[in-house]
Amino acid sequence: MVVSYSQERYELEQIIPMLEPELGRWLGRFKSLTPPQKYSIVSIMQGKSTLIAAPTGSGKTLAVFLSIINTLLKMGKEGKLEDKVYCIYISPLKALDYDIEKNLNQPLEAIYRYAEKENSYIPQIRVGVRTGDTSQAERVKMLKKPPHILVTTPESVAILLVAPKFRENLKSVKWVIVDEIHEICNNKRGVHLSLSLERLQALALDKIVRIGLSATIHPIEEVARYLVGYNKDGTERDCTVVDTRFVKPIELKVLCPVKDLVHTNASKASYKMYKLITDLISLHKTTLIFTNTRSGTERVVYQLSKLKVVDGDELAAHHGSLSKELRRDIEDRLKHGLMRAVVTSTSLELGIDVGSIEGVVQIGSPKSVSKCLQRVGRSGHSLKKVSKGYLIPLERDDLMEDAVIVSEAKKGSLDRVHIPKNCLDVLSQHVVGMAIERRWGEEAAYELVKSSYNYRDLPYSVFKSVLKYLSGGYEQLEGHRVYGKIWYDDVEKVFGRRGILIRVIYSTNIGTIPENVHVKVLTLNNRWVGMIEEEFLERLRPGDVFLLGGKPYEFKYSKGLTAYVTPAEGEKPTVPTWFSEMLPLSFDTAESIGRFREKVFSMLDLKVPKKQILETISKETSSDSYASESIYSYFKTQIDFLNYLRVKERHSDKVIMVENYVGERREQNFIFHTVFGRRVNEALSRIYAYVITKYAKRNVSVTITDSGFILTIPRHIPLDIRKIVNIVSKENARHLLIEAIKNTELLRRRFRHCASRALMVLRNYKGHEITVNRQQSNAQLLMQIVEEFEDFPVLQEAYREIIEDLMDVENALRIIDDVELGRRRFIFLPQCDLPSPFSHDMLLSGYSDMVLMEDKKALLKALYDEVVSRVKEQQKKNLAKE
Amino acid sequence: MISLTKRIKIVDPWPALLLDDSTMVVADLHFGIEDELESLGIHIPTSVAHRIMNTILTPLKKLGLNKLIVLGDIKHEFGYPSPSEWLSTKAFIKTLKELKVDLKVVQGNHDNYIIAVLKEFNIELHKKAMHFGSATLTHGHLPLEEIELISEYVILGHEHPSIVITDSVGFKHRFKCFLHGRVGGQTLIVLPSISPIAYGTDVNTNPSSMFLSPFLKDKDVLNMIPYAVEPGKGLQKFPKLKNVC
Repeated sequence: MVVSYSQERYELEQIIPMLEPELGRWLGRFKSLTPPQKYSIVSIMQGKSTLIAAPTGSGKTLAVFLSIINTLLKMGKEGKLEDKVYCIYISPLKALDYDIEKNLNQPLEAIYRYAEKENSYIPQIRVGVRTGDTSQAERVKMLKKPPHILVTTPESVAILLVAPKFRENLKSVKWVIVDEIHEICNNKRGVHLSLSLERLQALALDKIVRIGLSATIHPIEEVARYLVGYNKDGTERDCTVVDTRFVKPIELKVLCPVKDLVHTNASKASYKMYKLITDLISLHKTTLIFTNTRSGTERVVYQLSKLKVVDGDELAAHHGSLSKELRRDIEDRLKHGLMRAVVTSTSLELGIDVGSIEGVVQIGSPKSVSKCLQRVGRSGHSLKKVSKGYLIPLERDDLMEDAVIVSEAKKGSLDRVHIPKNCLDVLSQHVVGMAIERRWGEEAAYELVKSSYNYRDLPYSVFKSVLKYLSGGYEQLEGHRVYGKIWYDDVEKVFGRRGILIRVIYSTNIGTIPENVHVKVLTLNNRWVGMIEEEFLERLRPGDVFLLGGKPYEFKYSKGLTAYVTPAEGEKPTVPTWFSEMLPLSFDTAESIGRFREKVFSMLDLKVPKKQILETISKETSSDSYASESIYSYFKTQIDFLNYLRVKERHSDKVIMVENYVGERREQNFIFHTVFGRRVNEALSRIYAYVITKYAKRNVSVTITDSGFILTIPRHIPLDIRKIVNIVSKENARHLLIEAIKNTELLRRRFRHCASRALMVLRNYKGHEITVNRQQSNAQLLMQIVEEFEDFPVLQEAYREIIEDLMDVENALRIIDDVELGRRRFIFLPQCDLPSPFSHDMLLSGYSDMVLMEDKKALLKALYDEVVSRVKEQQKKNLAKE
Repeated sequence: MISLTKRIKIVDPWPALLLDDSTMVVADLHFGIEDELESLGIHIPTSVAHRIMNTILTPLKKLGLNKLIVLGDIKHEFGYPSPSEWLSTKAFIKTLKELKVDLKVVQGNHDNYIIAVLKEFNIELHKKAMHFGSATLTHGHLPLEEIELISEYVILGHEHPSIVITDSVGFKHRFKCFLHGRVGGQTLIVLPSISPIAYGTDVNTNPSSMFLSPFLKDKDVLNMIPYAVEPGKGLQKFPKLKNVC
């Protein structure tokens, strides 16, 4: 294996003599080194690419920079330090960049002071931050005197690579550091960065040493391969892994706010929850509270401030929708120990230094073991202090997830990370960037792309389709039209820049971020209410009531990216609030829940005494008595239900129950208890729904959660669900899924994102911002045009992104295969006018989607029927009023 | 085929009308709209011209017709035609000539500078309107006073009407549509655009102050009947506009 683990440990006393005397003296102030430092400093000094996985606060920054500063210092003394960039530090967060700059300047200044005292000359090592916020003046200054250590973001790196003058300064780069790599590698930003690193390597004179810093992540070898990529001959590049993920002691507890979560109403449970949080805040000096959504953050702060548990200025919310200044202010006050409690969604998850936090509270489920450890790891500032985490479930399924996550964390199992592959939109953007740099031979460019982990398996033909798209090769009638972004000679096999505008277009449209667009919500008299997601707005109809910041509002109309509402005090929401920012439950944790279900059910079936069951649950999952009691009660009600239906089978990871529940509106609900996480259920549900649209000739409404999905059709349609399930096989499932998403809003929206990344629909053109609405309608038009090309790369990418990144087609196929091979089975319950207790949360909190008939003619007819029945209903209402 | 009157029918399922079972009418081709979109930063990788042609020629051939009226906006640019506009327009006219189809054109607001092309091929151009039996055909951008209305029915383009229908789950579906009904003492029939990518007015969700055509703008249009059309796939009559949501 070319990925190897660092075995040799070096103590402080061994390392000091290896350093330049000034640096050694500064390091001498420390008593000892932390585990990641002991294992990584020498590895980096030896010029080995290194991935360090360790909890926050374990001194990773020092571990990395010590060797680098040492080498720069040496070069300086030898008069070899030029005005060039030697090290690039990249983090996903601008805020982190400024932290790092400060942390670097501290030792540097100390070293200068020593030198001054001793009258020895030390050349200055410059550190410079460059992000999207850097002013023009600073950029000019940086060009004249480049920093030796450049602190920046993934997007800025891509821009610098095409900056005609500045890129010259990058030829000298020896080290690249990727911080918070676990936050980067699992999304398209990471794919983008990966190609930037390969382009940087192609530009650099030396082989670049790559250093990755990561929190808890699994499998660590895969992340190492992502960091370093591949050699020209296709072999893996070397990487040393420093695995110190579990060096920090951690203590997790599941706390349930009420004695029996199953039989307590929601308002009481939530009242008790705030009480519980209040107690936890008073117990700790500083408490960090995580919620899963921004709106949840606001709601919790509001409720806590009403309870007056701490002074008003000791409690605050911290999330992405707040202004930068406000967020920095809260961070500073946290650092200085001035806060008692801060509530956040994801914005305080990353490694910004937030000082000493004593306890972490997680409301709801953290959805994966890794996320749980990451969040809880924010507490207990030094490595020796215990990180304390309290998981508080809100709903029954949360409770189950929290319990299983704690149990898995105790066993040391982690969820696998998903790294996107072969993203053609990101590739298109980079090919344009490469073309701006210089003229490329097609094969050399392909070779460079393939050295990235994300594109290792990219077929040559697909790479060529990207060149064809970018050069305007899909034009049919008028070959003369000059739409291409690049110039490409298919005979000579070379490509390069086309036109002078393209550099500006590239630099102003770079990056991969615009995934979720937020829409302002205002009252009719322009009072600020909050933000909702664009996807949510698309589903709202005038008259719909939805919750925002805990209060109901009626949707009136929308204009561009603003939605207008009126307060609807006391009214019940007509549409469930759903946010795509909500994390999906990881597949691995979901499977553990399946196994946990089997275990508890078998104890119940074996008539194990209640006390003993409670003890087992509590021991295995660190649940308090209320939580164990509630889990017990949840299983008990479910087993009673199954017994009532005379069903002998029980839910597990291997046994998939399918209920046939006839609802209040006389509709048939097929409830699939597939505890595989939302990403898998997104795929499975649409595959089965699509088969139903084919056979029953009806639109199918789909409701999806982490623990299952519901397919809904009118009752009068006879449907043998067994037959539907049997039609799906490992061979046809992928194709069925593609067909199922073909005509959806989802595909159109994702296509827009991909078109924008592939520079097909520009966000910014000739200095004008193009509104998202305009982009969306533009993308809709485009979709229709490109649909006729089977291999059109941007459309292909939209499909790939949906089924591989948003959904988890791979594991969905595995499950279908397991069913075929008899490793898992479906059990179909008899029709019933009651849903089982395990499906209550699904019916309440799932979000809905529709799988439509392909037949446009039939769709038009179905819509006509709907409109007519709505008209009739309205007429009836009007008559009744009279 | 759906009959709107004895002599005026909608060609099912196409965005086209059939007059007297002999003449097909289409509106708003907008050849060359790609050029404008490109200038807005939208890259269209292929030409839409062949699609527009197919949408016209398929029903024409199927019904064995040899008379066609284009109700304005053959091309998109307001000013002098761009190269792609020239090419597409010429290719379109040549194809019709080869098929021995008699073409008449009513001028639209985008059709400046087109006279030269039409002259070259000896094609009749009606500047403001033309009359066909009991119907007046006009593009729809000119003020009412400028049109000589001597007939019962007015057939228009220009507006590119579409309707938005929300289904029970909350998804919005948008379709091109015809509009038919009495507005301001006249019976109007409005054609959808034949181009797959031309923008238009969502007639059931926008107030009539947002409409473009003087025949419809600020008028009570809510009693008009929409006919949703998915070219080549489906045509469906819906209840009056005020009831479609």
